[in-house]
Amino acid sequence: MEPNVEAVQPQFRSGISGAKPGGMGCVFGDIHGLIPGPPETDGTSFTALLELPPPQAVELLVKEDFPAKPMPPPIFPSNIALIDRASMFSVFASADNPPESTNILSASSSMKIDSVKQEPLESENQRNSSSPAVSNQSLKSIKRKEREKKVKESSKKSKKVGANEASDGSGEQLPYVHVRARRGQATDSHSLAERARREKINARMKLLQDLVPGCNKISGTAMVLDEIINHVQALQRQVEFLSMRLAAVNPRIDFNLDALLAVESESSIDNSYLGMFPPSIWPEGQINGSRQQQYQQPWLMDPPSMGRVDDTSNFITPENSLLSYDSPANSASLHSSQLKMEL
Amino acid sequence: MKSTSPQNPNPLKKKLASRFLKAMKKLSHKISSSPSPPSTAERRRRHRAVRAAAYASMASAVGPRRAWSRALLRKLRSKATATSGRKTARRNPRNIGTRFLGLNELCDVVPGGKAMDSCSLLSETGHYIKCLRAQVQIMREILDSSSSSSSSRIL
Repeated sequence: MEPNVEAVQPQFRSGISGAKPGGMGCVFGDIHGLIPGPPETDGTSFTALLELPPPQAVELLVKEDFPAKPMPPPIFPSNIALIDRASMFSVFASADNPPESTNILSASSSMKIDSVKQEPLESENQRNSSSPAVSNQSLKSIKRKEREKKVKESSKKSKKVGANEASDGSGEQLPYVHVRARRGQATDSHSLAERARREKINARMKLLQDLVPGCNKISGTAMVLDEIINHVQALQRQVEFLSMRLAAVNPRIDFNLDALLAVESESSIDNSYLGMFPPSIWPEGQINGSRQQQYQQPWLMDPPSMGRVDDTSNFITPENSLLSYDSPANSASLHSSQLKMEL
Repeated sequence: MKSTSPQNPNPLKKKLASRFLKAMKKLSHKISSSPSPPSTAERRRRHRAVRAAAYASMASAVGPRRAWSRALLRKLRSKATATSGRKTARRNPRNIGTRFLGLNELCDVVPGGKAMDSCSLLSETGHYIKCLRAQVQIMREILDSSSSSSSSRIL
């Protein structure tokens, strides 16, 4: 927040000095609250500020002379809402020059005022500014820019301000999702939702890019997608290939499960289960009786029935137990060791 | 040779491994009682059985929380019961308009992809890739360990 505050402060100072506070609408409304009871709180003129008793005016502004020379950073009460609103004018945050910022703020304030009033403002600002010649040009160009952004800024501001005011009231819960509208982009709800959706999709794509090796260097969504599809297809082909090999090797594998599990899982749990065979397993086997039967039946069914019809049934039964979502792996390893025992 | 390097205790991988090994055990019992030189048809059947067991174990280990696992199990079940006459009409044609072209191919690859919107399709793809990778690793390790053990037995 610090850089914002630093950038904001000179602008506020010049804003008060150079603009009509009341005419700026809700943005600088809080300034009125901060100004300790000037006679025209809804007063809309710069001159009203001048009519303040001098000590108050000096309080409001800075210790220096009132005609705005470049002033030191003021002791401005840092209202957070103000800072939020000022940070909305993000283009102003980069403006260092006090005269420019003066003009910018006056231009922004003039968004809500008729253009007629801008001329006296301008003249006042020019009177106050230190380099009138230069600032003239910059003023015009900046004001033109501001008018271009007028529509979008106003709509964005209305949304943001509504959210801000709500946030001022409630504190934590914001009724709106704060999405900052970028320059040149529409701010209606449809495009906002679309933009959010697009950003979600882009985030997922980034995750996928990290997952798939070799996708980091590729730029462009289409190529990345192609890479991902290739990767998935390659993995599926590997599964196919490995399953063919396993099917060929299968009869010779007695599925020495303790060795296999030790290799793959490397967990002490499995080893301990396999260590204590008979006494502890059988009571747990009886607890899981139904599932045990489910496993035993296909296993017992296999030797006597090896006909053609039963091929499909045996095809099904190994999957039946798998097709239902089972419990955690602990019981699974238990059963595997049980089956090994029954061998 | 057996890999003695300690692997990362990956819970997903452990679950996948145990399920797959269970399935393979069942299949191996069925296979062991058949005559030793398998015919081509028999080999093809076994191959298909192993592959189905791999996918089934993968999907069931993942659980019903993922859309692709549900779709995968549905597909396997329908294949097992051999009903080929299911209606092949696309369930959600409205999704096609909202997604861009590459995703159409992706939804053909990932199980259950047609009925998902682009956002969930991408996340499902990520999870699917993770599980596929783990499954491939497990199968490779089984093969390696079995081949190493058999070779050591021969020697």
